[in-house]
Amino acid sequence: MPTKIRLIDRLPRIAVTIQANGQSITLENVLIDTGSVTTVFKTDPLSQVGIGLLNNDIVHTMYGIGGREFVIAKRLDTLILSDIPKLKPEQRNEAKRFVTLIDALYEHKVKLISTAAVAAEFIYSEGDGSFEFARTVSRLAEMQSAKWIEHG
Amino acid sequence: MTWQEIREKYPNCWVLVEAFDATTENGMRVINTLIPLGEFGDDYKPAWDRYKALHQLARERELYVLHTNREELNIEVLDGFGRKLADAYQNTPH
Repeated sequence: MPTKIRLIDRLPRIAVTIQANGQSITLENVLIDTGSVTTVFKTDPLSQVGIGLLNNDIVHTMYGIGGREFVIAKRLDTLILSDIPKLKPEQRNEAKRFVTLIDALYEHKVKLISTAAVAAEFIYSEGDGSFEFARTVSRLAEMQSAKWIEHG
Repeated sequence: MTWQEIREKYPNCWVLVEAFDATTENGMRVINTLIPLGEFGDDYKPAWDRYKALHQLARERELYVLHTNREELNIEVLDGFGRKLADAYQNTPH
């Protein structure tokens, strides 16, 4: 699955493959962050894999340049994240974002399948906040356990 | 109408509604008046199509497709949506 970040119109985009109901669709140019630390998918492609509105979806409203949108939040069962790089000591911000991502996945009991350039304890082993990163390493280990994968 | 009045008038179905007289408090929308724009039975797709058509014409309107089994609105505001909304949607295969 292609996961490289590409800048298109100066905005960071990735390809995302979504699997649901035994079907799969790849969206080629998903904007990673809309500016509210969220990724938004258009409903039409998702409806092709049977993802639609449900009675008690979590509903948000968003404001943007040139309009307003209402947005539905959906729960992920599993996230596949490939090519996690080793972070350099000066990549403190990237490390913090990674910690935030893992915390969110952990708290929502999402299954994570990932590949990384190095073992988890070496992803961010030096630099500001690397001591706190140990908790993320611990969480990653727990998320790889059979118990987690079985029950989330 | 309030959401509860809409729920009573259009039970157990999808509705397209427009918000008026609304404010944001603690990150949540407080909508005092909702105007029902259509009732669509148990299939959300016609409601969604209508939403998209209206949204295309007037993107400032605060429209929602909701099911009246929903007890409370509970609509959270996502701040900082700094991009053109259209930018977020350049995600279809090409």
